[in-house]
Amino acid sequence: MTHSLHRTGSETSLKKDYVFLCTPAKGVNNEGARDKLIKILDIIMEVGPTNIGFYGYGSKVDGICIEDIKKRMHDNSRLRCCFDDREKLKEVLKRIKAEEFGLSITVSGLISEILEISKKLSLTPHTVNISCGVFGKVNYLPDKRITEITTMCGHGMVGYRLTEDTIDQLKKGEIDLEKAIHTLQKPCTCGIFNPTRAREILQRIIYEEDDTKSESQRRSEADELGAKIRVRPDPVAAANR
Amino acid sequence: MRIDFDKCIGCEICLSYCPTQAIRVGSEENDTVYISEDICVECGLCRRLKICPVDAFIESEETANFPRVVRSLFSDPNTTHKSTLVPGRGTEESKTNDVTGRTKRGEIGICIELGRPGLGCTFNDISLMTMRLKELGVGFMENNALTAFMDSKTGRFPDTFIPQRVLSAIIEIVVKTEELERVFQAIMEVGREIDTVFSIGIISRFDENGELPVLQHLAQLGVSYAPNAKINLGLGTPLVDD
Repeated sequence: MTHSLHRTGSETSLKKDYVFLCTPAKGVNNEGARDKLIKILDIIMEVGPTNIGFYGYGSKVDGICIEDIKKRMHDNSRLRCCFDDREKLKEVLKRIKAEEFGLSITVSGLISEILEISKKLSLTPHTVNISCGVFGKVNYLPDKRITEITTMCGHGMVGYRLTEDTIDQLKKGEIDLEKAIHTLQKPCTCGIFNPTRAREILQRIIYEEDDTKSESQRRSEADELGAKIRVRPDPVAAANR
Repeated sequence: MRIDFDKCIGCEICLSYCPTQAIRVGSEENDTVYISEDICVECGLCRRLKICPVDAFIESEETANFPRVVRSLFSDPNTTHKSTLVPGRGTEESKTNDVTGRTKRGEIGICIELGRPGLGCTFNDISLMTMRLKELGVGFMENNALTAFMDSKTGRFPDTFIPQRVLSAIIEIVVKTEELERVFQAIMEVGREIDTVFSIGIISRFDENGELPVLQHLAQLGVSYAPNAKINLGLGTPLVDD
């Protein structure tokens, strides 16, 4: 699944967002992977992830117990977590490299940042999966600021309505920022929803938004912001030129 | 998923949480909270989050049986596909490419994820795309949950699958670099026919110098790409380096 690939946002925001995945490959190196996964989990926990989760169990926001994750782990399990600090990610990768576990590691984040880390650690990146954006009936999608939040759960568990309702409650003062982040983080069982980024995005939406602006002005500005983040030309038209 | 009407107190707390907005309230005369069977993708989130104060969500028997079970297979991140032994959307895509070599140098893997972000799709949408790609003669990735269900000659899915709605599903194909333009064009053509969104991911190998030639190919096609990506760091063993 490409569940950490299509996160959207400005480069400044994405600089605080790295998703770490460790995946034993079925039929290749999954046999006996459990012990290695546990050791990698220990490294991650020593360094301190921003969020971590385990399917069928929950994420940091649920108060998960790492020993319970270990008990649930098997040879085909995956480790998933996120970091808001590049140096922490670097430390984890450095220690994993030194231990030579031999399991596949992928990191989702800014290409330039990951390549720089790789260079510093003398890693040789193997494959990239690049997001070329969203196509089709994009007019069905909500404001880009909403999708900045929802795409942090790649399985689509953080819905548009939940995000819009939570922002609405926050604006009305019915809930505080901590409660809003908690609400949005909870549906993502894999633990790759980044609460630090959620805070930054929510603050931007709530505090920087000028309520005197009309809805059309806001949408136009949001579109402008989106265009800066990613320009999406029609590839068919481009190919026909 | 269904709601036990005898238990439901109509508090409507659950309405916000459903990612597909399948939990609805009846008419003004009848304010019963219900789940639209057509819209529900059986992701199980409403029940899993334990948000209902009276535990009124019931997983109906048909949810676990074909054809409805395909909804949860492609929507509930906690399910594991029997065909691939992979959870979630049922593919390892680039995550293990360093040891599987699914996408080699000179090839480009294309992940077309229908329904993402957040809208969902039907197998009718998926079928339109896979059948068109099959006509083009492109290769579909093995060890992918969709490929496992698909008719290998036509790209079509069983009739019972067609109306089923899922949160998203990833079609994975592999093409030669020189085929990229033709295939991309076909994907965009089908994209105009389907009633949802789709996200595209391009999987490619770094070359011997650590460069990404695919970026140049994308630029030539006028296809932009995000500044963030998923990168396989090449730490798996035994390493496949072809």
